[in-house]
Amino acid sequence: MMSAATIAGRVRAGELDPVSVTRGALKRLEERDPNIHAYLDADADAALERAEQVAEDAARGDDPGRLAGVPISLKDNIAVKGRALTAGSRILQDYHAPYHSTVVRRLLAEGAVLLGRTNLDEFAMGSSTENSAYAATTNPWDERRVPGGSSGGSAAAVAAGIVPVALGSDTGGSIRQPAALCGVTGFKPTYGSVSRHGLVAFGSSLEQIGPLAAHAEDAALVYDVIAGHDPLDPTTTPAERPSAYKTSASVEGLRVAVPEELLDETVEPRVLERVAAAIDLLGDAGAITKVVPKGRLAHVRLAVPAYYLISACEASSNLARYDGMRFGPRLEQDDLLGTYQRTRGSLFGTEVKRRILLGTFALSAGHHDAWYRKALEVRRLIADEFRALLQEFDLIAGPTSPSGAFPLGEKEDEPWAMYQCDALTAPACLAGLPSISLPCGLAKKGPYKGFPVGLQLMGRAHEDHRVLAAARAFEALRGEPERCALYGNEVAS
Amino acid sequence: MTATTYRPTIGLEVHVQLATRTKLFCRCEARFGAPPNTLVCPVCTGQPGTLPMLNAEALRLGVIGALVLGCRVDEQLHFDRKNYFYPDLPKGYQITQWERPLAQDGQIVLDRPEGELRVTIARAHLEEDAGKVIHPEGMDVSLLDLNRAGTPLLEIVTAPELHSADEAHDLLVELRRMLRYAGVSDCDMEKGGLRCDVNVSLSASDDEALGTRTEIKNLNSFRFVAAAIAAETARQRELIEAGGRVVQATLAYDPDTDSVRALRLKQDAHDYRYFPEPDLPPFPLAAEWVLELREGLPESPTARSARYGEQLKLPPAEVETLVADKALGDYFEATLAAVEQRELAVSAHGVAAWVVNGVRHLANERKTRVTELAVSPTRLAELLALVHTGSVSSQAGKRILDALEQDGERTAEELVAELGLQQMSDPEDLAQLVSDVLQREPELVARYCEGKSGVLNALLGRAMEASGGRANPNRVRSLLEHTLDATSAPQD
Repeated sequence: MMSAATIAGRVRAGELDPVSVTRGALKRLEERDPNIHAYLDADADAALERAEQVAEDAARGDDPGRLAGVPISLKDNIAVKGRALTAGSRILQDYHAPYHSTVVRRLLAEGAVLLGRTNLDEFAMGSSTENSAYAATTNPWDERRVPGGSSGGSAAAVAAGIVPVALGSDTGGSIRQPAALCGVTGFKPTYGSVSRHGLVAFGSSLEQIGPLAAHAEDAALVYDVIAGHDPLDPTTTPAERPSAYKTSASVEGLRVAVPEELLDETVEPRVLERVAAAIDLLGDAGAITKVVPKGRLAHVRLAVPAYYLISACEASSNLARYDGMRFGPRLEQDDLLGTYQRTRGSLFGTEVKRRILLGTFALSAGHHDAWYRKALEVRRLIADEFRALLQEFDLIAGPTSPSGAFPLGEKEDEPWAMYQCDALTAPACLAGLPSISLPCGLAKKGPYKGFPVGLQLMGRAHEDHRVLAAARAFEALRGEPERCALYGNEVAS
Repeated sequence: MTATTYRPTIGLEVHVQLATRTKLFCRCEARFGAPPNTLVCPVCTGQPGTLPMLNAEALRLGVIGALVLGCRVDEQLHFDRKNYFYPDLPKGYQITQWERPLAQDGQIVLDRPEGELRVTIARAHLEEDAGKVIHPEGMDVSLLDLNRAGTPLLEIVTAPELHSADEAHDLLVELRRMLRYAGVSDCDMEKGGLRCDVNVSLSASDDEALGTRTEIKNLNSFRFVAAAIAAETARQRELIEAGGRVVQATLAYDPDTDSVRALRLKQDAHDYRYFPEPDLPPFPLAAEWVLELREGLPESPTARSARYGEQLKLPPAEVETLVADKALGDYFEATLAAVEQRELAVSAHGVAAWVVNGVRHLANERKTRVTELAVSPTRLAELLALVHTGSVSSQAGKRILDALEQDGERTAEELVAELGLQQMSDPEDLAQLVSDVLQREPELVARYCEGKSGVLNALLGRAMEASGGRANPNRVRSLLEHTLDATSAPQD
């Protein structure tokens, strides 16, 4: 599959027809998606219509944009005007977004072709994409395993070679963990660099939209397009953003911390093995890598409980609007309370209800200080520790996920075990830092033998371009990553 | 044994709608009376993925309101979410300010018969309004109108320092006057622009401790506020005297029965689960900006009243009329400025008399606001100039004012010409007029000659009538006197 950069370059040069590119992607989707259920809907007609429009623009001599003709799939919690938006939930069944999200506006302005809605854990709550109300997505490397989550549909779509890039959202690891488990690149930007306008809210103070891509340079290219201050999202920052795509891709002289807290016994040894090899590779290329002994990130062990409390509190409020009154199905009862209870009780899934209950409890009078406020204190401590460490180092490296792709159903009845999937990714969300997961080989032995492992790199806030440049440098060092059989090699003609 | 008496202690929570063009967190118009759900967008209907965008004008008006009430404005703006379920609340939470209100510690001074009463303003904060659930009569459905959802409100909370329905009423009147003066809110109660919740508790005369507090919700007229306080005070007193206990409750006042009924008791009270609004990061309120607003505050009603009395020497009745209605006072100011610009020697008192008697009556007759009249202060000043120079009589002036209102385009001078209302000052014309009147009224002339000098006014009236109000009354009077005295003198 051609990279997004290649497609856009050739479309701009008039050497490639966007319609044929889109047809190719739709054909692959039709062939491969039945195995993995990455998509809720291909939205083929709209994609082809759009590709024709891009072709016309190009033929007229207008610059069709930096993503000209690039098919991009969106996680189904990102609003596209007139298109279904379910967030993987029955409670939004048949809901159609009445407006474009800001990321969609930006993608369209650069000539992208939106292709399909990808599956997700309901309201982005989960780490396996098993919590979708519509279907469970499976891992393109093995249909019996999970793709990770909650952006599992986007990760699987890219890993299966259907599209070069997809957008996901990451509240505690939902872009990076599925990227790691599917062997693709996934980037969570600095909090406030990409507009959340049009992203169905889950944990508002934590989440960002970001790219999942087959190539690191495409993650940088798409990040450049979607990042930027947005008056429609007051949490976006007007900070200067150097182009991540144009920043020189080198790791020479970069100081890379490898904190022991991110390498502890909860991480699968065969995952650690690949990550250690990747860090050595960075060292060979001139990065100054250093293992930082335990103590500097002392509160990172509390990241999961802090993250689950804060995100659940925000979710309990963010999901209050799904009451059947203004949109979505309403299960009418004799009285208002009954209607609320029936609608929300029947149409939200178990995991969503668990988090609404947790958040409601943690915010309630008498418990607010012990839980919500305490979690905010832990969050501040974690953010401070990361900030301090990043004053001495340019990047922090470690594994993305404690495990590889695990079997479907393995953690379904064990929410606490599922929550531990976020142990290494939640800190960057709590601290608002840019963080990327890069494929760094396949586990050689153990329960994840033959499955991809992700290297995580975190950087300073608003230095997204540096993190992405380091990722591109790593990719150049590593070479083309291992691909699953589904990915294939054909080129759209 | 003396009977125990009870004293009510009252606190008010007043919601006023800020006079912005658009809503607090989106750019929909904040307007009353539009067809249902025509002033809505994805943000104010709570569509998934939408985020609030603060309206800077609402913030500015909120700060001005806080400053007018003498409050200390916070250095940072913080919003919180107040969580509860109701169909008129699109997001399932209201964006408000809980932990850190916009402003605190203000004061309103009331001029009471028994002396000055100072009432503390505990806090003032910004929040969004909810929509409306409508229950159409005779239909088994509820309808939702979200036009009002997201309208900016300033909630003003007084300390419990009021002790009678009358004091509460006075406080509201003064609060409304202050906010209208500063342009913060129209406080138009008929359009829900000012709504009031009232807290009432009783304390026994022999005991300082306050009793259990009840809250009467959502009163939308000053009369109902006073009546509700009276009803609730009586209810609590009767309950205590019968040996019962007041329980903490939220109440509604029913004007038809002049009584309160419970909406919910304490055990059913909402837990609003307040937490900081993550979609609106704290925002610094620059001290210089607040200072700038403070320095730019418009004149307060108290200051205007003093200036009209002391500097302009207006009579107390006119001062009261002009200050009570800010729009009328502003009209007066604008006319006065136009008069001064033309360097006319019309006194402030003269202008005030025209505004109070002419303009105000005109507005009343037409059942409209002074600001909506067609006749502008400039046009009125032009008319005053004509009256002042004697080109038209003041009686004709009243007719021209009417004509100005109806016409709306032409100047007073043009209308004078068209209506033929130029004052008759030509001696020959006046002599002819007087001579005609005397010929037509031999009886009156005869009575005058008999020494009944009061008849002169009747003759003057006839002459003015005959001239269509155009004759210069002073000249006619002296001409009448002169002619009559001349004709009757030889008979003496």
